[in-house]
Amino acid sequence: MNSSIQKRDAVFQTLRRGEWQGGHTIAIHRGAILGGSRLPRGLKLFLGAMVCFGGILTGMPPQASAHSVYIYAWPDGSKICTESYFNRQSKVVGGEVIMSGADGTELGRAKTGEDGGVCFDLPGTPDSVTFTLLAGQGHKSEYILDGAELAEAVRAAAEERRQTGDASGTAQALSDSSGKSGVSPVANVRAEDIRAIVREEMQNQLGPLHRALAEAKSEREPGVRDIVGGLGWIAGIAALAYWVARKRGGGN
Amino acid sequence: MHISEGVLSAPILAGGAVLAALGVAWGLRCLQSSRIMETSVLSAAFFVASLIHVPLGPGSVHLILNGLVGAFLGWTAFPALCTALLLQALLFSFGGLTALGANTVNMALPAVLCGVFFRRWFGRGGGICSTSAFLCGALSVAGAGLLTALSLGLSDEAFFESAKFILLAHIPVMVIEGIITAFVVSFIVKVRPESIIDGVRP
Repeated sequence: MNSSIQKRDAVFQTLRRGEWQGGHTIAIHRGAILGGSRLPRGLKLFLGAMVCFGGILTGMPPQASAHSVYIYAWPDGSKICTESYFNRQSKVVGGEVIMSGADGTELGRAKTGEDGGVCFDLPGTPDSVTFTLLAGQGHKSEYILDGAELAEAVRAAAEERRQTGDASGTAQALSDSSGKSGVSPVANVRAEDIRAIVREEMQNQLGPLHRALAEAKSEREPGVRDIVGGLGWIAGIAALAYWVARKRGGGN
Repeated sequence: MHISEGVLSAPILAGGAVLAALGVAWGLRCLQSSRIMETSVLSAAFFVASLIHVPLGPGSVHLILNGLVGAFLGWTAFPALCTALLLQALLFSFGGLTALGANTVNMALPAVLCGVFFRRWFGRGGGICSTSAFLCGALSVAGAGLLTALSLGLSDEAFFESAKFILLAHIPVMVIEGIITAFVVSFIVKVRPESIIDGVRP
């Protein structure tokens, strides 16, 4: 205890005498911390310039300072929708999302909106699709939507298209039959029409569920476990370095 | 400022990896066994600092602390930051593994240059010490931003556009980190000068 105090005093004496680095005069101020000392003119000017530039920030998009970027996608009716974000508070606005097929061919490209979201038309085949987000300043992320997740949506969309094609003919036939025989159109509604209505309603209901599942599957922001794990790794590496240093037996 | 996987071109990735390997090798050569704990503590500080988000205007900024690491460690900042960046890439997905070399050079090189340049004034105490430490912290962030923009510019994105964007977004980070570095350096100069002032032995 006493030896450490003596050691510290010796260092201070050395510093006060200026016996280091060519004999510069050294002044150790007890209140040397920034808040307790008068700021030199250069620092004041620098701080002033920083504050002025800081005003520009109000117009800056927040993503420029983010570390990582995340994207996830889910089938929503006849569309595939995506959402991109830097963290829960800031969405990617104006980022470019590219939809590619399983073979790498580009199927679509669009920019994210204010809410970080953008939707694409469903592909014709139920193969997996990859969404690549380019958010600028070195930020890039990918999300792969599995073909199995798309199969039902693609089949429903194809069915819907077929139904839409038949709808005009059916409507014409209903109109003709009601005009001729006076039978109510409701009595002529086909099972396929009812199935289509139910399917549409189901997809509307399932959209948020698909979205929640996709969000849960996407990469997450770091949690406490990751942080503690990283600190443990650093401590382990430091211990290993000590062990190597001791093995070598030298000062370096 | 962490560049993701698949953004940089192959020559930039290779160049970054070679420069980072040289920096890490030289940093390990400069590392004294008595300073291993200090190096690991600063590496841990850098590792965690990126998670501290400061709400600002429409978004938020986060700390980097490369200037503080450079001020204390000099060339040893290379292995310290490389380790932290590797763990950030593996555990947080911050930056790509193939871009680790480029990210290490972008963060560590300005930190080392600022640390080596400014630490000569740390021993003078008072305003000079605070100012030089502030500039060390602030300019290290600015240098990291410029190198990141340069890496992107040489790969694909327009350099000046990226540089303007990154620097403007990091002005508050520069101020905050400058103040943090000034506080910490001034305090350490007061209580344990041998750990930061060249030529002073405990």
